[in-house]
Amino acid sequence: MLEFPEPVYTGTQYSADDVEALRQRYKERHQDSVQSVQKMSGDYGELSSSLTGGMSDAQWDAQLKRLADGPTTGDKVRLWLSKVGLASRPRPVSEVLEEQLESVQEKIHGVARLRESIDGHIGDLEADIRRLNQQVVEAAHNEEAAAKHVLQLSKSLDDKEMELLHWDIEDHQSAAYRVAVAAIDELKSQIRIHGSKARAFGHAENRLESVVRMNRNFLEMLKHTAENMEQLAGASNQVVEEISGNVRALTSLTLATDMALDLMAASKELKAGINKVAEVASNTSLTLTREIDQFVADMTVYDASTVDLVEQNLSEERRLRQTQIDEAIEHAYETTTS
Amino acid sequence: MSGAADEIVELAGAARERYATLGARLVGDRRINRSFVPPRDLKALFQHLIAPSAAALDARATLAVDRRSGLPTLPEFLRARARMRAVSDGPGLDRFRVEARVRRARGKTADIKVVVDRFDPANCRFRRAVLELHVDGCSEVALEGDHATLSGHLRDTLFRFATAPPRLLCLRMSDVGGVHVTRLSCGTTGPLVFAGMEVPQALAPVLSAHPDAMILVCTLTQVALSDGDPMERDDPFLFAAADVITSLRAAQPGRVIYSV
Repeated sequence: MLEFPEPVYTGTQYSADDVEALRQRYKERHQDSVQSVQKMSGDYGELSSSLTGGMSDAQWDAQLKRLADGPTTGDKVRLWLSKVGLASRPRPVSEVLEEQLESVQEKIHGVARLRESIDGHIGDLEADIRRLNQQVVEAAHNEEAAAKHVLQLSKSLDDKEMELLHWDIEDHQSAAYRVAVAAIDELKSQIRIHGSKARAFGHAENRLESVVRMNRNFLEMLKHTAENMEQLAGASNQVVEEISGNVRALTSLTLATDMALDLMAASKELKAGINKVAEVASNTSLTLTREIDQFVADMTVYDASTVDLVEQNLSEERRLRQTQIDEAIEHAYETTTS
Repeated sequence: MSGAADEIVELAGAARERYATLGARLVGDRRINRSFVPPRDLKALFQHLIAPSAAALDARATLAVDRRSGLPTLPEFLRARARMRAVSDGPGLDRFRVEARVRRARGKTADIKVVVDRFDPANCRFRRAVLELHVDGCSEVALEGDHATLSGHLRDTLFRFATAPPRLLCLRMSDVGGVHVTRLSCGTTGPLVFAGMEVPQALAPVLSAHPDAMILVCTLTQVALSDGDPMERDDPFLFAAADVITSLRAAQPGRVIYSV
């Protein structure tokens, strides 16, 4: 009956319920992601702060002084007390250093494993963004096709209504007039159907776009985290190499009698190295925490706008239903009065 | 003070792969007996010298090996150990591990056997020191059934001197009150000799005849109070060692030589 073909809509056909379900699904997924990133951030913070082995500056200085000067009077007293079982014995400096080194290496490995899991998340997100982008394009095409079709229908409706004006009043009971009226009703119904589709595709497009936007934010944050981890591991690896050199020399020294080596200088290098790692760890951890806070704030905004949109969609649906009812009443009125 | 660059050789590419594979076979050879660090632990360590993925954060393009010992440096040891611990539940190899078993105990006296496994961070070798100790009123040995826990000066001495020449270890142990060494054995795994490393004079002809050969040298020194000094023991193996090694000219890659 129509002079032009109905458009074929490809891909997902969205209803208001579908869009709501999509929103709900991604809201849950993003909340899970925030939780998992928060957990990762916690782990990372813990790892980065423990990279320094929990030794305070004062403790380091005490160790270094012991290295440079040999046992202090306090050490000697403690040593004597330890012999009679009244105090714990001061531990060999080389053992403390080896433990630090081992702890740093274990933490680097922990960070490496965390980054592997982040790499997995990054891969998933990128695939999801690709898929969603494709859906956005499809929804946009469908929306355009529906809108174009509605315009064609609307033009056709205008023409039909103009034609109807030219009918004489006495011909209103004729079959031809009734056919023309039926065609107008069909056009209105089609406009309603495709208009509603255009809106659904439009809403889906917007919704999908905001999901993609959130995914991109996540992606960016995860990439930052991965970069931070690389920085931290790089700095830590360097420190491990430096401390190893010192441990090597110290262990030789335990056996050798040559004490002419500049222990203090070496120990200062060591402290500087540890401090460098501590700085990187604290900075990267802070950046990550800030990013997560910002992200959680973004999530709230995203959620508020989502609620607005859904409410807007629902009121649109309500208005459309009312129009349909009005039209039905109007038609019924026309039929009964004619 | 840090290790001079020429003390470390960085293995890359095929040489690195070959080192890890062949090295694992050598250090993991089942013929290596209980006087040495367990070969299964060393084999597991060697199998984790290279990160499973080149993209891993702890992955390195090269493998640092000590030129004198031909074995991994301390950072490489720790990296491999961290990887190993992540995938296996067992305790695995440690930088320093002490186990003490009680053989006889009566009142305040006891005879204990102490096994110390230690990675020597200065010389990059693996050492197992087995000490038979007579304990007489030493507060640093806590007896708990079959096991004993060592602490204080005794444990520190073992930590610091387990990798030292056996005589020095014996000497230092004599500083620990209430403990007497009755027998001591020191098994050293390494050096791992191959082209590019420092080659002991005795092995130079083997390496020049077989440039691809990789030879693991395991040395065992035993000291026993009752047996006297091993140098005076007229031990035929002690003097034959050099001859034995040089006679192994037909060594194939992967052969293990015991120099006792």
